[in-house]
Amino acid sequence: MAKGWQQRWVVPFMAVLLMCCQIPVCQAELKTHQIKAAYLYQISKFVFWPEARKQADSFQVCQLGPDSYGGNLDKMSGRRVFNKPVTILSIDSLSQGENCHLLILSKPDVVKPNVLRKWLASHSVLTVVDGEQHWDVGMVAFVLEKQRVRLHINLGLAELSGLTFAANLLEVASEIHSGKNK
Amino acid sequence: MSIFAPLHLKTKLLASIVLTSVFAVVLTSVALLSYDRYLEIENVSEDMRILAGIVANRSTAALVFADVHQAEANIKALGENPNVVMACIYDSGQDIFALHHFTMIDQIPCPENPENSKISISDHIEIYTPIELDGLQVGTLYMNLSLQWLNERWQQQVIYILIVVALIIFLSFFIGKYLQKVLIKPIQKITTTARNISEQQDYSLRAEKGVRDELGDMVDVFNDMLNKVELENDRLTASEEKFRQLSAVSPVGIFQINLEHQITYVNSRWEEITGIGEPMTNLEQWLSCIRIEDRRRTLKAWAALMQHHQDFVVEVGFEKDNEVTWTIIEASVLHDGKGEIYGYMGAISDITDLKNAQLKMENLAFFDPLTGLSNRRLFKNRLDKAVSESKRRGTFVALLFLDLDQFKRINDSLGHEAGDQLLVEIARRLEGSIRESDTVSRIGGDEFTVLLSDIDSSNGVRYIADKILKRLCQPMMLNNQEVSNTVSIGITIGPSDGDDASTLMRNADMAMYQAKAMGRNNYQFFSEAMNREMMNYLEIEKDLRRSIASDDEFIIYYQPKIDLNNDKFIGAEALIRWQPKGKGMIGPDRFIPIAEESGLIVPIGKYVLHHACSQVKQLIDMGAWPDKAKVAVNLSARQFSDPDLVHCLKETLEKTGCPVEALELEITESTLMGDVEIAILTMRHIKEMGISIAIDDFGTGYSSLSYLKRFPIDILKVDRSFVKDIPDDLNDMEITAAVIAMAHKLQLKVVAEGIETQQQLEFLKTNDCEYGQGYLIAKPMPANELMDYIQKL
Repeated sequence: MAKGWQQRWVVPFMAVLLMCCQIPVCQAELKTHQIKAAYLYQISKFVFWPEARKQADSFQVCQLGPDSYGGNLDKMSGRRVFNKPVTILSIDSLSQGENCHLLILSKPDVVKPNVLRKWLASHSVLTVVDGEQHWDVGMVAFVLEKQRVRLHINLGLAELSGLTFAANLLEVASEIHSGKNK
Repeated sequence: MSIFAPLHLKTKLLASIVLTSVFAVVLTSVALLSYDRYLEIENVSEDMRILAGIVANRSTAALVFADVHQAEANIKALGENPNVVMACIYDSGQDIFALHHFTMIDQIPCPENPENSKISISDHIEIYTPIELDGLQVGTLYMNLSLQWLNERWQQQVIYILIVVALIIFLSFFIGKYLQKVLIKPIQKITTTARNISEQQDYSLRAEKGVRDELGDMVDVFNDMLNKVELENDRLTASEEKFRQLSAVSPVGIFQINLEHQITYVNSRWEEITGIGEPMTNLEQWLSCIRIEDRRRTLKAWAALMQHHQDFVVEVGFEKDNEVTWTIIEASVLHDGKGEIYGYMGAISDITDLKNAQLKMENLAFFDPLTGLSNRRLFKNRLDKAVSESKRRGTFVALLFLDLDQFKRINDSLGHEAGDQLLVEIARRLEGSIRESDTVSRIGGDEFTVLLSDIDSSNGVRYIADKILKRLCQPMMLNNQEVSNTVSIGITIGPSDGDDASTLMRNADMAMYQAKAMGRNNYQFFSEAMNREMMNYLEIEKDLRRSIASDDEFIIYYQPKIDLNNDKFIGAEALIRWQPKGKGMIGPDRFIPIAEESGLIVPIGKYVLHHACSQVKQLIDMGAWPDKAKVAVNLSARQFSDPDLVHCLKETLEKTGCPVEALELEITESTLMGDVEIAILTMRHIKEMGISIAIDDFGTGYSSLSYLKRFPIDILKVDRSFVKDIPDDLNDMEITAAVIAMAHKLQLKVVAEGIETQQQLEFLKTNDCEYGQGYLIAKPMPANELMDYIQKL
């Protein structure tokens, strides 16, 4: 019943998503935000958090910095990842993000990579950034390539944080950083 | 099955082995191929299902993140399997997200409406696999696999199987050949042996036993059977040989005929009898040789045998070169061991000699061998027929009874041969005197009959009778002597005189006697007076028979004879008198001829002899009978020719005790003239007994002096017919005188009988006649009166 409900809900959603993917970025930036938001939710399914992190009551999606999704993140709220409801939380500092499962760094520059790396080494949190230039702090970076939203993966950072990616996700990533170069 | 039926057993065996092997291989191969195909498809399906699952799973991210290239790359991974023709990925909206064709030719588009999850197998395998993410279907993977490789694999397998089949045919052929050798050879040996036996008729051959299995047993059984067959054959051969030998020496022709009427066996005798040299002819050809008169009867007998199995015996003649071979054919059906009829067997016997003898006998039975005329039997037969025919047609028949008047005389004087010639000539003349439709028969020694049929008046009969008399009295040459002969003919007309053969015969006979009585050489028609005479005759005959049996109706009278010189009694002639019961005395003139004719004279003669001897003995015993006196007893011709006469005389003399010298026998001259030599012999026997003999009625017969000289007689009795007319008839007186003189010349005494007048007595005395007898001297008298008469003298 739950699956049926999900199917009914997901299919039109995905259709919308896919339709959005087809739309050129120049036509509407909003679409890009929607796609990213959708991707964000999907990515969470291809990422394996340590077992302890799955014990939490909810799947917390945290945003450090301003909303870079054009308000679309809220649409994730209420949905479930590893059978936990998604909660959206806006934080101001890393310290507030201890319970976060996914951390959107909309202003990556505010966080020093070393600090972040250190913090991440003790906290299994998936970091998501925009733009390829921020790959060093973002385990997943949304990159606009040929007017399409593509993923860049930083495996080294994820490894540091104790997270692993599904091979499928890696296959669709347009670039993968091992993280040891920097 | 009918295809195999005419084949040789060895071919059948070979065919069965090869076909069974091929069938087994083909069936097994088909089963294996089918199973292999099924397994292959199952395996491929399963593999592809798993592969599809993997690809679907791998394509989740590509689909979710709309990475078409990645999706295509994932699909291309399916190209690892060369049988994948194409693959498509549909998104959740069932739109084609990515696709790839793995072949350049015959590309087909992705199905428009993908199924959810399905495998369909036809000439392709189609697999639909859902692409799911976290329990949600995000797309569908479609795969299409060609089964071309499976077909190719199947073709290869078929080729392989064909090679195997060829190999198996090859192998099974050799195995079959070997089995032929093992299994068929013993059977062939039996067959060869059987064929050799059949061709060579050699039942000593045996089949060779090469194996110890069931076929070996079969050979044993076959050989055992051959032993029995050989034994049976030996028996049969021996039996056949016996039959052949019997058949070869058989006086009877033997034949065998099959159901197709072909003559399958004949012995040499058959060929001899039938005169058919070609033995293997058919029945119909044989029967066509039979005399036409016998053929119909024979065919009927054969038909009855063939249709109703009735055995037959027929007498048939085979005619060849105008000669008839008479045979008896017997035939019956032939049964085989099961009782089925398989032909006919029979015998033919040559009975020609027998038949000829029979014909001769029949000829003898019905024809007179001397004259060739029909005899009494055939004549009676024809007379019967003629009488009934005349009654039926209302016509008349005339029966002429002919008796030759002087046959006996001619026969005696010229010999039997001349007599026979006379008869033959008479027969020839008789045949020349009548019509062809009339019948001449010789019914006795010199008795002939002529049967004139279909006559209309007595004038015609008279004409023929005159013609016969005229022709027969014409002289003929016998032994170089001219002889003429006459006949006396009695004629009767039927059915007016009598309507049966015996009556007519009797009538004609009677008429003939009448003709004789009328002086011979004439014919007399039968009349009622004759009939009455005959009736009287028959009555007398009947009374005579009865009287002979009763013994007291005859009386002996004695007529004394005296010595004319001294009137002394010299004896008496015993004369029989007859007085039937209830009737008057009948004179000897009446009944003696009848007694003579009927043969009754013999017992009557014996009676007279016995009683005369007995009564004379009484007179002798009483002393009334003078010495040397003789009682004269008449001896009839029949008595005289009786071979028992001498014995009878002796017996009578012994029984009565009459002395032999007191007995004198009077024999008429005609009696002696039958067979003179025998008569002389008989007279000598009588004389030797001591009985004196007198010739009675001398002068009436035709005895010649030469005979008279040889007769051992004592006395001549001059017939009363000569004495009667003395002295009126000078001729008779001369004859009487001559007879007396001749008798004296022959040293014989003479008795004159019938002396009734003194003149006669005187004449006789004058002529030195010794003795006399007659009414003048004494009438015949009974014995008691005779005694008185003798005593008075």
